[in-house]
Amino acid sequence: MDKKIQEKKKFLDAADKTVIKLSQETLPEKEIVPFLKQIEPYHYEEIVEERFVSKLCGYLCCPHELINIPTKKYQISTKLNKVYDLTDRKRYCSNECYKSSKYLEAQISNVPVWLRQTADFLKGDGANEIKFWPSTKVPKPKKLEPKPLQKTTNHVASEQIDKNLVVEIESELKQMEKDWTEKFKIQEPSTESPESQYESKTLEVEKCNALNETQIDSDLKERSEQLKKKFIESIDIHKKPTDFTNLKKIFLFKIKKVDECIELGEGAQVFQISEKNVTQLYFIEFIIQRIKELITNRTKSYLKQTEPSDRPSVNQEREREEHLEACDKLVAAKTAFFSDIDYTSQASGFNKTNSDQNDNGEEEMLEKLRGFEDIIKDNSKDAENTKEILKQAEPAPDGLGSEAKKPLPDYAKLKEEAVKQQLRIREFFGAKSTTKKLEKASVVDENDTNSEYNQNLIFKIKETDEEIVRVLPTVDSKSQTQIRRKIFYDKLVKYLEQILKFSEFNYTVISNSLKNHVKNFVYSLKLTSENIIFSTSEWPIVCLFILKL
Amino acid sequence: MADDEQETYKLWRIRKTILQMCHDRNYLVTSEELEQTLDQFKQTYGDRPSQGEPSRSRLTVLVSHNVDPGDQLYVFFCEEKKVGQKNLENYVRKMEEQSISRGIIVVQEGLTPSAKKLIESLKQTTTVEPFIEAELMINITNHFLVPQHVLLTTEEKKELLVRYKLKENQLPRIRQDDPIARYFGLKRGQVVRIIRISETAGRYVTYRLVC
Repeated sequence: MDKKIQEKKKFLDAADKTVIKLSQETLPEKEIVPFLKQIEPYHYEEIVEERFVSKLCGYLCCPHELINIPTKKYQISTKLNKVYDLTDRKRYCSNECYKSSKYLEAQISNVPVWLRQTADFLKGDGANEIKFWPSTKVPKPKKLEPKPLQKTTNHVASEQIDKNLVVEIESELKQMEKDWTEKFKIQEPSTESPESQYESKTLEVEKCNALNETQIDSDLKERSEQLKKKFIESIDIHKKPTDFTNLKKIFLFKIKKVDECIELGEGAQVFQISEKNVTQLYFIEFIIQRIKELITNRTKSYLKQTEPSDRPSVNQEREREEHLEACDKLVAAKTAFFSDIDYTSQASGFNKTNSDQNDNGEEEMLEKLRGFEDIIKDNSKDAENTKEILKQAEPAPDGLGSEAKKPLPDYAKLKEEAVKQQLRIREFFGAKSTTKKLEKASVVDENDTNSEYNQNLIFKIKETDEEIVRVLPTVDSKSQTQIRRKIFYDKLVKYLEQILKFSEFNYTVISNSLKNHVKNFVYSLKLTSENIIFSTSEWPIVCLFILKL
Repeated sequence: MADDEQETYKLWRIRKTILQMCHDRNYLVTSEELEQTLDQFKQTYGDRPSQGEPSRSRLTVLVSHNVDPGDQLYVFFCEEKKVGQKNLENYVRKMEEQSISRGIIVVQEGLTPSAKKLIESLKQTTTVEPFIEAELMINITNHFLVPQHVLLTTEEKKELLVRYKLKENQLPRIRQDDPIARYFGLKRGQVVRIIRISETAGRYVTYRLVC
């Protein structure tokens, strides 16, 4: 009897010790298995709670810390008309961890720890191997990921499928990233070494600087060439009979490219700044992070949309595509130009050719703009409409894919629908639009483009709203985003002007197209109250950045 | 603003109850502190708890016993909503550094199970008594239904047992986790005298053994 009690005590002590150990340390999955054999479910709960108190993610194998824990107890999903209890979910850093943890917990045996040495148990429950949730690799918090706690456990089937897709894509993306980084590593030692040197704050002699400049310049060229190659490749794939995996690949390429752009930008910015001061490096990184925050799926799809130009052509569409192409050229030329300016070192000849091209492009642009301004505007709106509709039908990342994959939502039909919608909205606003305009105009400078823009915005917002609230004045939250967009756009334009003046560009010639471009870009950003705050010194850099994109 | 007001009031009440508790346990507390009004509290500690004025850790109390100055009591106010094992260990370490064997921990919402286990395992060397803030908002001994409890010394207890020719286990009992027992920090084996007002007898005295 005594022996048994002592044994029982021994096992319970061991369980307590594991609780203490696991609640303080994060171990890899393999090492955890023996510990899980020593505890009961209620011990597991204790561990999770203890980890929560010390602000660690509740999943044993997740080393992340919990940041901004929600104070609310319930999450109300208006989409699904359900209320989720968050008390449990609060303790994990992501849905992934939550699932993994629950999966683990379900496998812990209910048999008291001191009875686990019996033959029965060893044959039955004890023989079960503890498995881990299949995709236990915790993805790094990325911009692609949905905000933590936006969704909780029980998803509708379709959503889950979407999620799986996203996860798949993400994993593929990761691999891509790996490949790319490996590729780049072969080439990059020259760029990395100076950077690291800068970071270690050993300022170099100017001669060395010049050397580095040339190195980095050549490197950047190489990179851009590679990008071009990739681009061509992706287009080639696009032209082939579109099979879904291909599309996905393309999508990946494009995301990759956006990332590359960012990286490129990063490199350039870092370089530019490193001449001035090393400490500003961190500052730049901060901004980059901010901008990354800003970039949403929609942005990507938008950028994506500007890049390829090989879709089945309706008349109008072709026009739009030409327009976009021209814009694209312009932007590309300008980015090249800017990078040249940034590096001031060489390639003045190259510069000239570029500017020549630019002029040509601008003239073309102007003509086109004059000729088809209305059509283009309509088109761009239509495009956005269709995009939105697609988005409602399909999850964000598959916007393009679904369009090509399913012939169901015919493009023309969609367009018709969009036009109808617009007409309806116009009718509705026929009465109110004047007042609204006045309101807006009083708030903003009475600029033609601005008021146009405002109207556009209102229309857009109406469109997004219409699914939920048939026809009603703008909802508060929506109008807030509208205001944010406005602020962001205004500031951007202002600083763009400055920058363009600085670079001795003929601003007025390209301003229209540029504004159009920027406007669309701003639409696609996810703006929050914190996002849009940049200091005056930050703005130009942001502008440069967006130009680069 | 309103939250701050409320929070300050709460802290004042809690601290007041704690001081009364120390006083009732025969620890030395100045009458000034005992009778501190809300305004005085605000003056000495500040009135913006949300900005760390006062932070809970500032309210910490250390009192020594009336008779035996070596016997000291530490009262901690926890910043954390829920106190885990790690935090508790920190507090215990602080107590051990100053070789204080008795402590009260005022927690906001509760302890984790493993923290409770730790308290249990520490019982041999140090006594840690957890109180939740909500419990201390009022002093339960002032309630009209709560009779007067007086802790007997060991001599008095012996005398009692001899007088009534009782064995220890023949006394009626009171649980150790009884609110009043917790208020007085009673330990197992101690005896309390309970004096009730009675309509028929005037005063009725009874005894309880803590178990």
